[in-house]
Formats: sequence, structure tokens, C-alpha cells
Amino acid sequence: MSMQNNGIRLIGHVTSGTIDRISVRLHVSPKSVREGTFLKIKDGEDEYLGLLTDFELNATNPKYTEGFGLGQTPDHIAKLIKGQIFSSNIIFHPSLSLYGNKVYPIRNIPEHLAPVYIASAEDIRAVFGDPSDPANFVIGTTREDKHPVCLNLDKLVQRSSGVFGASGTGKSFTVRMILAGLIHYDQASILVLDMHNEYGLDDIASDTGERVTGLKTKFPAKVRVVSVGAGTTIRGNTPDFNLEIPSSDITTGDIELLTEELGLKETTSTTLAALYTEFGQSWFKAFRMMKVGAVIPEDPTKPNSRMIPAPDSVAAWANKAGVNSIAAEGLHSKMERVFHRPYVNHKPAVNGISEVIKMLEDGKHVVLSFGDNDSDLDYMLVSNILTRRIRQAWECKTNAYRNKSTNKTGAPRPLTIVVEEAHKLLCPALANQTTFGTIAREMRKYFVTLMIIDQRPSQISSEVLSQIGTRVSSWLGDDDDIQSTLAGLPGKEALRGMLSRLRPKEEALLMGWGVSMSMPVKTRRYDSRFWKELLGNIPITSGMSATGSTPISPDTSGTPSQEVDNTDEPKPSTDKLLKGLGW
Amino acid sequence: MPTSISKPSQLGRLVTASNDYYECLVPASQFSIPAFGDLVIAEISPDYRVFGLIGSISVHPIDGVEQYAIAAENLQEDTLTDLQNTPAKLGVIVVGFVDKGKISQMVPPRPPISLAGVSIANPQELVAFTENRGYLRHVLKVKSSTGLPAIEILAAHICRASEAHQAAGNKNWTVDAVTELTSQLRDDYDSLLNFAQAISDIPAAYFMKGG
Repeated sequence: MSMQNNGIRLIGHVTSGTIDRISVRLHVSPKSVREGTFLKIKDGEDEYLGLLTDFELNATNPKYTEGFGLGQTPDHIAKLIKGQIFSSNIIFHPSLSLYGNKVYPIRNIPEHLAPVYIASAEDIRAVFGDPSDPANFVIGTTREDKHPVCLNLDKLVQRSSGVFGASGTGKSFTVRMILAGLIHYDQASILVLDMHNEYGLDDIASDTGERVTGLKTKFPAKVRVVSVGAGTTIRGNTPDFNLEIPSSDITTGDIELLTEELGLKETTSTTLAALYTEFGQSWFKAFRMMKVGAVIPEDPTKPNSRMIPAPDSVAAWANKAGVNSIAAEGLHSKMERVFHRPYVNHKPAVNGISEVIKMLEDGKHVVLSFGDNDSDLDYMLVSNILTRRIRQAWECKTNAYRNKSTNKTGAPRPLTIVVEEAHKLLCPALANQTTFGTIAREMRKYFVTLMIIDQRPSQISSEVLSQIGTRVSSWLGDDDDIQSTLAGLPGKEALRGMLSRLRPKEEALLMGWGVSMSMPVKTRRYDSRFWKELLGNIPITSGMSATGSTPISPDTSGTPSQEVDNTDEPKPSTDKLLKGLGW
Repeated sequence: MPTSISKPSQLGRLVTASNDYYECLVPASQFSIPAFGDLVIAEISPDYRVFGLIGSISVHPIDGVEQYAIAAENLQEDTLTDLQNTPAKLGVIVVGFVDKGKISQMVPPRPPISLAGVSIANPQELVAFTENRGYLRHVLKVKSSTGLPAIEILAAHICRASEAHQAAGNKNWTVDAVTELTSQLRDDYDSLLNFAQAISDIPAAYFMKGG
């Protein structure tokens, strides 16, 4: 039996199954295929596409598994016989059906003995899109035949997305590539909250020591690198401009967000509310100017006069506002860390936040590097303030666009905010307080989505995770993280094992709304070839070559006749023989 | 001296038959020709022949008188020769037939007639008949009905047929036949083990692609 059928490789036939789990008897060695291999069952005009999710080794009689007495038998015979008494099966998880080059959800299953093939480049293209379409970004290749697998960038930015993976699994490289694809495609603005200063400027890879190209280097006209804090540099490089935050932009909510970070107490809300009631938008500046512990004599004329809080003290304001003075002083002390952040300015020369928003509106992409101000406090505070302003701006623009009487311009430019260490801002305790939680839940309608990047997805609010459309995950080891990454996806039990068995580097599992079906891929390398292909618009064709594909070896345990298949050998025909014999 | 009516290739003549089994007597002069597992042909007419595999070979038992003669002190050379000329009896499992040039591996519609001439299939006939291997099932099923050693018959037959197919260029025949039989025997642990050991004499080269 030939293992080739019009260039695609036959590996087995259907023996039994359900709509979720189809059992396939292998004609080839189980070592020739692997978990996650993209397969196709062809049953007449109907084609079923899905993944190999499990293996089964069977024996026709349990006695054989206890050692079939072949010790005295020559190896070549023993091998042949083992092929008949043992069988290798795989489990095929059907995801889509293909009819006339269009994909549909699975609604039925193939018949018994339908042949099963390794999917071809055409099948991959039908499901994941044509790599020559600019909207389709090749994120990697199939692990077996190196056929290109695309992410549709339009779909990617229509809903929030997530890039997950344990530390050191190449998450940042994957993100760099996706961002490069988005910037090159240029149908959405990107704001990267770059906590670790990785994406904007060139860097050195921590593990290999090799130079890693920054987005600014390749897209100098499209990307603006913004550093947090006046005069700050990024590894000695000067950014396009420095972001300073007017103190009037800091809300009491921004401080409440830092409750855990600052060790604030339950009384904080009351104190902050009183501050806002009295000082309005200037509350932060006013509170900062107050002094803790300042006292004056009640009657300066008397030498032993009782000491009372000074008029510019926290206690004096607290007494006047009717809040607990000790709680207010405690809050003031804890907020010292915020008061003295170098990027908080009562009257900055330019409103940096507005500048960033304008850049994004103008179609530029912004990498906000935190430079030396990269503590959790800095990240949470700046990110939340900036994102809140962005949200307001995009809501405003969208409402204007939808209001027919005032609609004079087109739809707002889609914006994707890339959030590193997302669990710091989207943990269950904070997800409802930060702007990010709101964006994840509601902002799709306002053309703003998130791309959250995290190594601990289990620390992210489940409500936020449920809103994540496209997911790209490298290897994850922790059960909870795997569970969270797969939350809400069909067939997650099969994907669970696949995710935990990805190679630690250069492999990822594509899942969710942005891809027609879940698929493990070998991710592209972020190197000079990547840039040449992306910027040179070089079409990426199948990596399969005569020697490049994974060889499918015959089943040495399943059907040994494959091993000696010599269909090319001439055989005497019976008719010819009969004629010769005069029968 | 009467003229022989036997063809030169004829091995013997059929003496008893049913649809799936027959016996034939082989004169002592031909005794060295038939082998266990050989494909033989009973010719009913020039157009209609019945194929079978030799499943047993036995010689006529020496009775009491003959034993007495053998034990005599003055045993004559002529007497010994006469006793040695006792015909052998072949038990043949019917595996198919050819009717007007069309090979069938079913049981023939009628048993072969008595005294039909039986001959050994030549290599061409062997290759033509055994190219499809459906006939092997007839051997497997005789085990229970006749007590013939089905596994040994098959092993001997495959060994001999392999040589013919290798010579004819059918390099996969041995593997295909062994695979098919293994598949049919895999639910019978003991038989399969016996079969595996019984075919050990087949040259390893016959199991390789390209022979």
C-alpha cells in the first residue's frame, strides 16, 4: 500500500470514535507522528481536520503483552508477527470539516476505515489563511512539515489576546514578532507597556548573549520610544521623549490600586475620599504639601502652652475634615513613595500623557519604557493613569463616530495595549479597579483591546481571561496556569497535555478566537531572516523539502507489510500466467 | 508388457475424495517426489482441475505375514523389494480449482472423481494459484475436522511456495503470506507461537524488500 496520496501521507484508518475522539489505527510507526500533528481524514467529498491528541498501544490478546515467546524466533519473523498481534492507535480530535476549500464546525464524523493523512500545506492554508495575504502573519510552522501557520492580524486586534508561557520559553521573542507583524501591517496602533525595557531599543538576549533588534530600529518612523521620568535614559539611549505625569492626573483610585504595594489600611478610602472632596483634582499636590507631625503652641505668648497641630499639617487637615488624624498621617507616610516618584510633576512642561495619546491617534506606535523606574509601584501607577486617559479618549472618539449628527470622521484607529506582567494589574483583587479590567471586558466596542503577556496566567482574574480571544502560549508547567490558559476553550483536556509537553523553547500553542482551530507550532526565529522576510515582503512558503520533512517510518509494530512494500516491483499477472499454462 | 496410461508427471491416483479432502495412492517408484505441503493437482478433465496441499504422507502398514517374512532368516532380496514397493498414501486438503482457465480458491462444486491422476504443481502453476492467498483458510479449518497438523502444513507450504515466488519476482509474497496467517492466528496464542517457530527455516532474505 502506498503511503503517499497526491503528495500527502497516509498514516492510518478510522476504527471507531465519537465526535470528540476518533480512534485511528496507524499504518506507520507511532514514533513517526507526534502529539499535536495536524491530521486530515478524507471520507469521499468530506474532509475532517484536527489534531492528534493521544496514543494507544494495543495487543490482540493480553497474553502477548506478558512476553510473546518469540525468543527462539529469528528477528525478522518476530518483528513481522509483532506487527499483527500489537497495534498502534492514535486519537484524532476533530476540530473542523473542510468542504470545497471552506471550513465548517464539526457536525458529524467519518465512516469506518476512512483514511487518515498528515495534513498538507493546502489544508493548513485553508484553515489558517494564505501567508501571502498581508493580514496573515506567519507566526510559525507546523512541527512536522514546516508548513507556514498564520495568525490573522485583523482578528487578533479585534478582541483582547494573550501571550503566555513560563519564564525563559521565548515569550518575549514571540511578542516581538507579533508586534513587528502588527506594526508592519499597520492597521492598529500599538502601545507597549514595556516594564523591562525589552521591545523598543536593541537589547542583548539574557540567555544567548546575542543582540536582539528593537522595534524602533526597524520601524524608526512608526515607533516612538517614550521613557518614564524626566531625563531618564534606556540603557544609556535617549528616548524620543520623557513622560512626566501631572499630579492632577493622579486620582484617589490610582492610590487605592496600590493598597497591597503600599500596605494601605482599610481606613484609606475614607481619608482619600475626604481629600478629594476638599481639594478636588489637586488633592495629590495638597496632600503632599502637608506636613506630618508639625505642631505649634496653642498660645505662642505663653512659654508652656499646649502644642497643637500646625495649620499645614496632616493632623490639622484631618481634624478639620473629620477624619482620623492618625490614619491620615499613616496614609501620608505610606504615600511618601508616590510623592517622590521622579515622573510625578505638579506642572510638567508638556502634558506627556496627552502627547502619547496624540501619537497613537496619529497612527504611531508607542513603546513606553520604564527605564530605571521599573518597580511594581511605578508600573501599576503609570500604566493605570495612562490607560485611563486613553480609555477616555477612545470612548469619546467612538461616541462621536457613532453619533450620526456629529460624525464627520471615520472610526477611531484600533488600539492594542500590550501589558507585560499582566497579573500585576489584572489579578482578581485589582481587575475591577484598574482600567485594564474595564478594557478587557468592555472596550472592544471602543476599538481598544489588550494583549496581555504573562508567565502566571492563573494569577489573572478569570473574568478577564474569559474575554481573551486569541491565545498564544509557550510551555507552561504549572497546572493552574495551564488550566487558566485553556479556560473556555473547546477540547481543553486534549490541549492540556499538549501544552505541558511543548518544547521549552521555540514552540507555542495557538488557541482561541483568532485561529480557526488550536494548533501547536514551531515558532519563527526572531533573527535577521525574520526581518528580511517581513520587511522585504518575501513570501514564506512551505519549509517542506525532500529532506526537510519528518520522515514517516513504517509501522514496525502495526503493519509490517509496509516495511517491505515494493509496489514498484513488477509482478507477474495471473492472466499472463494462466495464458502461459494453457488453462 | 502393458502400456502405462499415466502421464510422465503423474504422481499417483485418487482413491477417495470429498469436497474438501482426498487421498491418493502413490507408487513406490514415485515416493521420493511428493513433499509435505506441496501443491498438487487432481486432473478431472483438461479444463477442470482440483488443487490441494499435501497434508499427510503415510506408507502402507506391514501386516503380520509380512512381518513374519521380514523376520525370516533367509529373507530374499526379491521379497524385500516387493515389500518396499508398497504404495504410499497422500492425504490432500482441497484448496481450490481451476475451471476453464478461471482459478477459484473456493471448495470445488464436486469432489474429484476416483482414480483421477494427481500430479505435483510445477512452479508456474504454483505461482499462479497461490498469488492470492485466500486458499490458506482451507488449511486452517482442517485442524479441527481431520486432526492434520495445519500449522506444520502451512509452514512447509510457505517455505516451498516462497522459493517459487522469489524466483518469479514476487518479492513480497512471503511477507504477505506470513502476515495474513499471523492475522488469522493471532487469537490463538499457542498456534501462533508454533507457526512462528515452524517458519524459522524460511531464508531471511525472503522477508526483505526486494528479496
